[in-house]
Formats: sequence, C-alpha cells, structure tokens
Amino acid sequence: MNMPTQAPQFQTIIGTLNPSAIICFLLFVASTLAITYWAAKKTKTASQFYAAGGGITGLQNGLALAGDYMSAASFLGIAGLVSTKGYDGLIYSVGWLVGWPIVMFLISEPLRNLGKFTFADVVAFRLKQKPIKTAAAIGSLVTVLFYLTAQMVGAGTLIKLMFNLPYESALIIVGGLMICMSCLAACWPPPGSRSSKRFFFSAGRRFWCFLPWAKSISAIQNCSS
Amino acid sequence: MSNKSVHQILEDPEFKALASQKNTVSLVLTIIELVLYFGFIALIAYNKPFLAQKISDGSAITIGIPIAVGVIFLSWVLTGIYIFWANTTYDEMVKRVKKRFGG
Repeated sequence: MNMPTQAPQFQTIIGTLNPSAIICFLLFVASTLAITYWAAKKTKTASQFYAAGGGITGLQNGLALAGDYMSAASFLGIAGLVSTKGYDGLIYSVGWLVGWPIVMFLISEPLRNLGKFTFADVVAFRLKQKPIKTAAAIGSLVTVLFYLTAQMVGAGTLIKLMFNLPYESALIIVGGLMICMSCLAACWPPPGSRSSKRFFFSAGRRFWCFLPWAKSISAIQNCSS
Repeated sequence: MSNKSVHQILEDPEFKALASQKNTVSLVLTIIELVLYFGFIALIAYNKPFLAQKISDGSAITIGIPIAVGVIFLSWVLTGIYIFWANTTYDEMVKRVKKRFGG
C-alpha cells in the first residue's frame, strides 16, 4: 500500500495581498459614498428623512426591510450558526422573523395615526418628553455599543483576512470608514432612494460575506484538481 | 379640532366599531403568532425525539426542518392576512369615518 509521500499543498489566496479585492473594496466604498451624497442633497424635512416624503412604494419599502433583515442575519452569522450548530442555529432565525409581524400588528397603526416616525416619538407623545427620550437614547446607545463591538471585531477580522493587514490596522481602517460613512449619512441623510441605498449597502455586506466563501471554495477546487 | 367634535368622534358608533375591530384583529393575529412560535419552542424543549424523526427512510432531513420553515411561512401568511385586511377593510372604514366628520 502506497502512502502518499507528500501532504496535499493547500493553495489559497486568503491572507495574501489581493489587488482585485482591494480595488473592489475601494470601488464599493466610493459608490456608497456617492449614493449617500446624491441622496442627501434631496432631503430637507423629517418626513423626507424617515419616509422619503411619503414617496416610497410598498415594494421599495419591502426591499429596504428585506435588505435590513438579510444584512442583520448575515452579520449575526445565521449561515455560520446553522452550519456549525445545525438545527439549533435554525431556531434563532425563526425567532427573529417571528418578532416582525408582531411589531407590525401592534404598533404600525398607532405609529401611522400619530404621524411620528420613531418609537421614542410615539411614546413621548403621551408621556413626558424629556425622560422618555433620554431613556430611549440610552437604550439605543447601549445596544449600539454592543452591536458595534461585535461588528468591529467581525469587520476587522474580515479585512485582515482579505487584505493580509495586521488586525490592529484593519480595525483602525474599518473604524475610520464607518465613522466617515455615518458622518456623511448624517450630514446628507438618505432620500427618496432610501430603499436603494439600503439595498446597495446590504448587497455589499452580503458580497463581503460571500467573497471569502467563494475564495475558499475555489481554493478547495484548486487543491482537488 | 374642538374638544366637542373629538368627543363626538369618540362616541360615534362607527368609530367605536372601527377601533374595536382594529384591536381584535391585532390581538388575534398577535396571539396566533405567539402560540405558533412558543408552540414551536415548547416542542423543541419537550419533544426532541419527535423533531429528530427522519422525514423518510434514508433521508437526511428531519421533521424539525419543515416545521421550522412552516413557522416562518405561517408568519408570512399572517402578515399577508393583516395587510389584506388593512388595505381592503380598515382603510375603507377609516376613510368613511373621516368623510363623515369632514376630516
């Protein structure tokens, strides 16, 4: 019986400096900034900011929500959870989805009747404005802090993996980009094309999630052929 | 709008019917959704062997998978029911009440 004299050599492009990936990344960042800028120029009022001046169709809004949902699911790693934990991972995805119709059944009408756009505004409408808004802001900030920590670690690892940068500098680059993006989005808030912007954003996120997969698959194919 | 006309609207039978129908639909759909979800979770908690059954001999898929997908699908159907009711019945009723009070 012949033993293989040599272990198969894994050929992978993950972790090497890859110009096409970097160009792709820069193009993506530039295009999202351009869309944000174009979108923000049209936005003047709160109604335009939150609801695109009422000019969003049901389909567009659905696309925006679907984009949000899918990007959240991909960020939270549903696919990875299912692949490593099997059925236990699937349970999570059911739970998140089930929350949505309940939110719609219970608060969509009051929200529309009051003509407000955020949950804090609705609650503050009948109660004391200041404490309610303070509580809502603290709640959001705590959530954002935890979400951001995980997001930074994930994004830093991804950039490190794709561009072969040290983790620390990957983290600084990602953090800088995030801050630029949020500042621009806040200065030039999203517009009548809010759904398209969100859809682009989330499509981009999905793209970045899939790219490493595509690469590892091609690496496996290279290895087996 | 004066307090008197607000009061009139609140006392209006058609408005009352509208409000109670709205509450009923919201609550019933929410309860169905919760029963569906917590039923699913309870099944996982108390009857794992049932969910672990294979869908057919030699199949890799267990009964749990179509049940989980079914919960997602039914949530989708419930959303559809609510949207259909809101678009056909509810909005029409709101329009009628508004018209009567010159809103």
